[in-house]
Amino acid sequence: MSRGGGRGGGRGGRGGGRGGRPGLPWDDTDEPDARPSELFPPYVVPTARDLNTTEYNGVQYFLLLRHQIHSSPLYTSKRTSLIDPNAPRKTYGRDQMNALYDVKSKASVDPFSAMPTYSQRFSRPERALPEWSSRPVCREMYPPELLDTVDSADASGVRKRRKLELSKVNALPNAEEAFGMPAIEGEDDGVPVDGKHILERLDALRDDEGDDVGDAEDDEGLEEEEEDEVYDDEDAGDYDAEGYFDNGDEGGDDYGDGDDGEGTY
Amino acid sequence: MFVTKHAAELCALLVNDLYGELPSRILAALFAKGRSNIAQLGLYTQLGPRQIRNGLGVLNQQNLLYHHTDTNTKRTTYEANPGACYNLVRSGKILEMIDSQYGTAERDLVQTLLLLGYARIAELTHAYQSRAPTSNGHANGHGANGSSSGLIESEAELHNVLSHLIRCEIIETVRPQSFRNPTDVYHEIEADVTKTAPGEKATKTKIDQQRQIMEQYRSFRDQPTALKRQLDQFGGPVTKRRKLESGSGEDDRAMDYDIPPLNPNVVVRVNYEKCLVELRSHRLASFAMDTLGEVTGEVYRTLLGLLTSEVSRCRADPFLGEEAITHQAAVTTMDVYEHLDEAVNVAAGIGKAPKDKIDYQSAEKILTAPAGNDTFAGDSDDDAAGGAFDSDDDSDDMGRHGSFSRKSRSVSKTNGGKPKVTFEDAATSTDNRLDQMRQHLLLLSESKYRFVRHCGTQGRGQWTVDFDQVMERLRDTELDASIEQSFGRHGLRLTRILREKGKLDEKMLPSAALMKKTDVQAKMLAMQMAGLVDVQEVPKDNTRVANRTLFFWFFDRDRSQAQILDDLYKAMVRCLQTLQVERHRERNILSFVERKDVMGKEEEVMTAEHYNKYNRHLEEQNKLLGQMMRLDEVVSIFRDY
Repeated sequence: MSRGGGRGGGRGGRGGGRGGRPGLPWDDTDEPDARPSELFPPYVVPTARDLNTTEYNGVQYFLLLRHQIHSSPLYTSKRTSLIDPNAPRKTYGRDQMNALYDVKSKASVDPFSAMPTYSQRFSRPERALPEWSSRPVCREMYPPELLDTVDSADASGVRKRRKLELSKVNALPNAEEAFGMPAIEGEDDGVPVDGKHILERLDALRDDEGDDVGDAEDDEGLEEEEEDEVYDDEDAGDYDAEGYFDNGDEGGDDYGDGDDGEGTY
Repeated sequence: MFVTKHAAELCALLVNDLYGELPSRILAALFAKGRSNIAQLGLYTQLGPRQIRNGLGVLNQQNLLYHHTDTNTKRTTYEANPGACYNLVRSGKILEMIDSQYGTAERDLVQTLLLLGYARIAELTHAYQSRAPTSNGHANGHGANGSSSGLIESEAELHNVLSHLIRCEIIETVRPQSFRNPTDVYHEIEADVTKTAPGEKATKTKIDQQRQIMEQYRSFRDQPTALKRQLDQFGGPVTKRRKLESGSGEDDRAMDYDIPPLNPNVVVRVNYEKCLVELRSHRLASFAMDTLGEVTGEVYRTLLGLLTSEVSRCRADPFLGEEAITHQAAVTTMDVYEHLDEAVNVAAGIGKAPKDKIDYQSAEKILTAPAGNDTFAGDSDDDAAGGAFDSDDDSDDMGRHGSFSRKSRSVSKTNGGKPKVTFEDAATSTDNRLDQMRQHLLLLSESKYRFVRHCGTQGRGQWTVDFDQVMERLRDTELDASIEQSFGRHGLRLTRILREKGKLDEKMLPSAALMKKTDVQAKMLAMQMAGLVDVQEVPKDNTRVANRTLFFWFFDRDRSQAQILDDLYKAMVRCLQTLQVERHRERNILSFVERKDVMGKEEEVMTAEHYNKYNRHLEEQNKLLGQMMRLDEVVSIFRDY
C-alpha cells in the first residue's frame, strides 16, 4: 500500500510530485494567510463562576490561617528584594536568582520614606529572623545542629521554660472593620471611639509601659516604645534602618560575621 | 513524588506567602538542588549560616522538610517534602471540611495545629488553659459572640476533641522518624534485611526477605497511628464519628468522657492523608450530586462517610503495593439509613415507574467482585453475573461476605418485590423512608459511573465502593472536560477514538472520526503540540521516506495527565503571582490596614475611595484564591485521590 499512490488526491501523491520532499503532516494545501491580523480581535473572556459558600468558607479559612501565621513569631516578614512585581523578569541560573535578594540595604534605602515618622510606630515591625524565644520547641524533632538556633540557652546556660500561646488573631480584617468604627482588640469595652479618645488611649499606653499587659496589640506597642527609647538614648545620629526594628539579641552586629553563627548568642 | 519546575515554583511561592521570604529561598534551593547540608545551602543561596539555620528551623517546625543525620558521620542532610508543601494550598479546604463535618471545636484545634506545625500535648493543654480566662474577658465585650462560638474552652474539652480526632486519624503522632524520607527508610530496611554478615551464607529466600522488608516498613508506616490504636482499645466501640447535628455532636463528646488521659509528652500534627480521604468523599458526593441529583448525593455522602471511616489513605503506599487495600469494607442499607440526616427528603429525586416495567432481577443484581474495567462488562446481563456467582463459591470475596450462597440470590429477588407489599399494607413512615433511600442506592449502583456496588444481601443489601474504578471514571470526565475546553468537540472526539482504538493509522482517522482530512490533521497537530497525542512513525523499508512510512497516532493517558497536572501547577503559580502583583499595587492601603491604630484615628482621613479600593482588593483576592482551590481540586483528582 503505497502512500498516496492509489488515492491520487492524497497528500503523498503531491509529495512525490515535488521530487521526494517528505509529505509532512503540516504540509497541507492551504496557503498561509498573510494578511495582518486584527490588532484586538474579539475575544470571549472566560469568567469564572462565583464562589459557592463552601469555597468561600475555604478561602476565608485559608486567609485567616495566613493572617494567624503572619502574626506568629516564626514569620519572617522582612523582604530583602526590591523587585517591583509589575515588571516582568526572567532569571537564569543561581547567581541571577540570588542577586534579586538582599538588595534592600542602607545603600538602597528610599530617602523619602526612610526618615522615621510618627505614623511608622503603628506599622508592623519587620522581622528578619524568626523568633524562637517565645515558643517551645520539641527538641527531639530537630537535628542536633539546629538545636542551638531553635532552642538556645541564655547566657547563664539555663533554658527558660517557654509557654505555648494560641494565636490572638481570630478574625480577618475586613473593610468594614478597617474603615468603620467597630471594635479593635483591647478597645471592646463599649466606649464610643473617636479620634480624641484614641489619642488619649495612646498617651495612656505610653505611660504605663512597664505594666505587663497580656494583649498582643499592647505588647507590640510596648516593644516599639522601648525601641523608641533606645533610639532616643543612643542618639547615634544615623538612622539605622537595618537595626532599627531588630531586638537586642539579634542585633546588627551579626551581619558582619555571618559565617560562624554559633558564637554570637 | 516527581516534582516539575512549576510544582517547585508553586511550593516556593506558597511558603513565601505564608511563612516569609527566608524559608522560601531555602526551600527553592532545596527543590532545585536536592538533598543538601547547611554548607551546601549556604553556597546555593548565598545566605549566612545563621539565617539558613533559622529558615531550616521554620521549615522543620512546619513539617515541610525531611532531614536525616547520619549516625556515623554526624552530618545532617535536608530535603524538601513536596507533598507537605503542596498541602499548604489545601489548608483552607481542610479547615472548612473539619468545620462542617466535625464541628467548630475540632476546627479550632486543627487550625491551631496547622499554625504551629506540630505541638506537644502538654503544651497544647497549657495554651488552651491560659486562653480560657481571656476568652471570658472578651465575652463581655463581644456579648453572645464569645459564648456561642463553639471554641474549645476547657482542658477536658480539649482532651475530648483531641482524642476524638486522633481516633478519626485526623491527628497523628509525630516521632523523630517522621522526618525521614519514606523512600530512604524503605531502602535502608531493604539493605538491612538483605545484608549478610561476612562468612555467612545467604540462606533466606527472596520471598522471605521481601516479607520481612514489608513487615518492617509497615511498622514504620503505622507508627503515627499507634496512639489511635491504643485509644481504640480503651475506648471500647468505635465512636460515632460524624457530627450529624449540633445536638448529637455534643452527645458524642459527652459519651467520650471516660477516655483515658493522653500521654502529655506525645507530639501531634495534622494527618493530611486522612484529610484527603475526607475531601475525596466530599468530591465524589458532589460528583454524584451533579450526575444524579441532590438527594442521591446526600445518600452517597453518608455511605462514603461510613465506608471510609477505616480508610486511612486514598492511594496505597507505593512500597506496600496492593496489600494495603486487600480487604474492602461494606455497609448495609440499615447502617446508611441510621446515619442519614433526618432532614434529607429521600422521596425526592427518584423517578416513578410502573412495577411491571422494572426488571428487579437485574436491578438487584449482586456483584461480588469489582466488575472489569471495560465498559462492556456493564451490559453483560445477569447470566454472566449469575454464572460467576455460582462458580465462585470458594473465592476470597465470598469467604469475606460469609454466609450467603445460592439461596441468597433468591432472597435478593424477593427482596426486590417485598418492599412494595410492605409499603402498601404496613405503610409505616420509616419503612417507606428506608425503601426510598434504598432506591437511591440502587440508582447509584446502576449509574454508568459505578458509584457503588451491590455486594451482598445482609441488612437489606450490602454496598461497597470500588474507589479505583469510580475515580478512574471521574478522572476520565475531568480529562474529557479539559480536552473539550481547549480543543473543542472535535478534539475530544479524536482523542476518544484514539483512547478506544489504541494506536491508529493516520489514514484511518478521518473516516473513523467522520471529519475532513485537513481538519483532522490540523486538530491532531494542535493537540500534538500541546502534548496530548503523539505520532509514531513505522518505516516500511530502509529508505524511510514519508510515503513509505506508516504514521500511527496514539493517546498516552498517563503522559497527558502529567501534562495537564503541570499546566494546572502553572495556572496556580499564575494565580499566586497575580495576587502578589495586586498586593503590590495596593500596598499602601494594605499596610495601612495592618497598622495598629488605623481605626478611629484615621477615620476621617480615609475616604470612600480607599474603602472601595480595599473592598475590591479583598474580592479579587477571594476570587484568585478560590480559583486556585478549584484548580487544586482537579490536581487532587489526577494525583491524589
